[in-house]
Amino acid sequence: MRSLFFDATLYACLAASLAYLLSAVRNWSAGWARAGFWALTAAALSGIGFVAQEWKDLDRPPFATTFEVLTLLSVALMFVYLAFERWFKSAHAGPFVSFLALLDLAYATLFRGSAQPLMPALRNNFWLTVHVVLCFVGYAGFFLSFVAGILHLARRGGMNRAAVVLVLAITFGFLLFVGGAQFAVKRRILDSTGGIGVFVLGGALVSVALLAPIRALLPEATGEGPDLDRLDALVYRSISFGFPLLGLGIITGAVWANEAWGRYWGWDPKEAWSLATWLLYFVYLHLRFVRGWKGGQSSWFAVGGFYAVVFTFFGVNYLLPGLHGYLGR
Amino acid sequence: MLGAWKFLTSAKLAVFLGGSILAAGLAGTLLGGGVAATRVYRAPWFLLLLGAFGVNLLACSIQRARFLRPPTAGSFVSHVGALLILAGAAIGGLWGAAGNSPLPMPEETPLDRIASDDGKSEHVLPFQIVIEKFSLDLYPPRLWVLDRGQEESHVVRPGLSVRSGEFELTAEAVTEGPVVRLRIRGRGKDRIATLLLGDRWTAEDADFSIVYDYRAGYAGDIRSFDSRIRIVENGQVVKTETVSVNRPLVHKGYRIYQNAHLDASGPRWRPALRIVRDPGIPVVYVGFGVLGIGLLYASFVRPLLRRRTP
Repeated sequence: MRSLFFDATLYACLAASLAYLLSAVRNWSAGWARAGFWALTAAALSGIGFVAQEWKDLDRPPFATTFEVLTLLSVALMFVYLAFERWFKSAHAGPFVSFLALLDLAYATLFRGSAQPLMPALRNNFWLTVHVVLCFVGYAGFFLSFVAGILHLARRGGMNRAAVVLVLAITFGFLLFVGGAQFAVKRRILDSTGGIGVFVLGGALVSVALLAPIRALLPEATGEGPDLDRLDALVYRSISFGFPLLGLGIITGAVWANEAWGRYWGWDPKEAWSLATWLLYFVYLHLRFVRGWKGGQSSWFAVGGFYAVVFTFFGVNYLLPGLHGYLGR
Repeated sequence: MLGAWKFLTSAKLAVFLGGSILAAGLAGTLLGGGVAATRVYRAPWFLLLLGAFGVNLLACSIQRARFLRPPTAGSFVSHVGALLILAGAAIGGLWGAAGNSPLPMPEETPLDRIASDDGKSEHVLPFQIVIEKFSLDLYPPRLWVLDRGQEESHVVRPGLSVRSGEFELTAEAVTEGPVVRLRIRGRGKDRIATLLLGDRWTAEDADFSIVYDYRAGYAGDIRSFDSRIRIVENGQVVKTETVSVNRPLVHKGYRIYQNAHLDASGPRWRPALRIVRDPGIPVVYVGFGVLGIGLLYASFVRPLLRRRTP
């Protein structure tokens, strides 16, 4: 079913991505960055409108199906980024964050209208709602730390910049190819997404095609661009923001599990991998406090953490079915 | 003595134990289900690792308490929270009981015992459970569009419009019964199909079908399970309540959950009751609260206070 609020969120996010992109290519033009900020604000507010409308229409919090949680993640990412942009008075992460939010929304549309009715345990429960919202706002913090980490590494130049270009090209190459194949099957353009060989070859080709645009988009080590110390601080602050929220999300999820199934911890794949992700960021914070970890190592850690989050969110649903397998629908 | 204390409070030991628990926990997710439970999560070596981690955490907390200052308070409180969670889990593991039972039918003998999850022991309940009534609420039947191996379902309402490949179908009327009248356009034809519950319509010249039905026994059709339960003690009914998913009944420290399990013969849910007695729950919940406070203090409150301090 179509929703005006959802479409407004999608198009406003697209507008924000373009405005931020223009700001980046025009030597970080403040005017275009401001336009990006307001477009992204409009997208985030429309996202809230979408959540409110769905909540009313479905008579339950709209945080249960794949489409709903992907939309929630995108809206959370917008709000978290906007707050950090104001706090750090810097829009350098804008083009990348708004593109991530847009990609997430576009992927969500693949699942629009195809959700099954919810199983009884997922219907209207306070702890479930709090659990999902906390986890996804926490994830948004980690996504932001990923972007800040990427920018930090690009600004360091040399091998760091080259490696980060390669990592981004491979990541987005495969994401775009897999998403595109799923879209083609959904729209009956293709009969199937093909085997693993097709994914590897297609993903590799798209990755190679992305190398040059990504290299051009990422800030150089010299010239106009974000300050290294500020980027390092952004990595740390956004992880410090996401870490307690994911921790509280795991706790509230345990309370909900105890209400629904009579056990607060069952080593369900999602539980185990969420805990692993949380502990990974705990190690980061520990190293930062105890050993004064900063700079390149810290940024690579933030980049790696993003992949742990993505695996916990997507990979576990598809590869290790458990109680959270409903999300795959 | 001092050497042993140093070893117990060392960060290296914490990293080793935490890392081992996590690695084993993640490996267990690859094994899946019952195999993981018996070989990893309930195996003595895994419980021993958890116990050792608890001792290490306790020693670290005592050590940190001696140097407690505002900057480390959040971290200290979080450690205490984690310790309480582990202690609660240990209490539950040692003195708790949990098991599933198929839903006893009203004419059957009342339920007075449960088999443990591993099936190795039985726990006798200090009361009996009688089912007064069991009810199942289903979602309305749906339209299932099957097209070249792809399957999509839609809640039926007048005006519903679905596009699938070359076909476009519109629900023109829906009546109770339930009956739905569909207009199906595609391949240059405009057709009307009236489907009764359970009917299937198939295009003559394409691999495209529509089914109007519940999916017999399919889990997704169930909106809720509810059991009206009587608790009987010494032949007297002491409590009558409805148990539903997410709303357990609590009696004498036992929590009775409406549960369901997948039938081994196919995707069909069988209602069941899960009965849990876990004296460690209050300790675990206090641990959750303390850990939450510690995290919030360390991450949000402390940085705010630090910024306000000149």
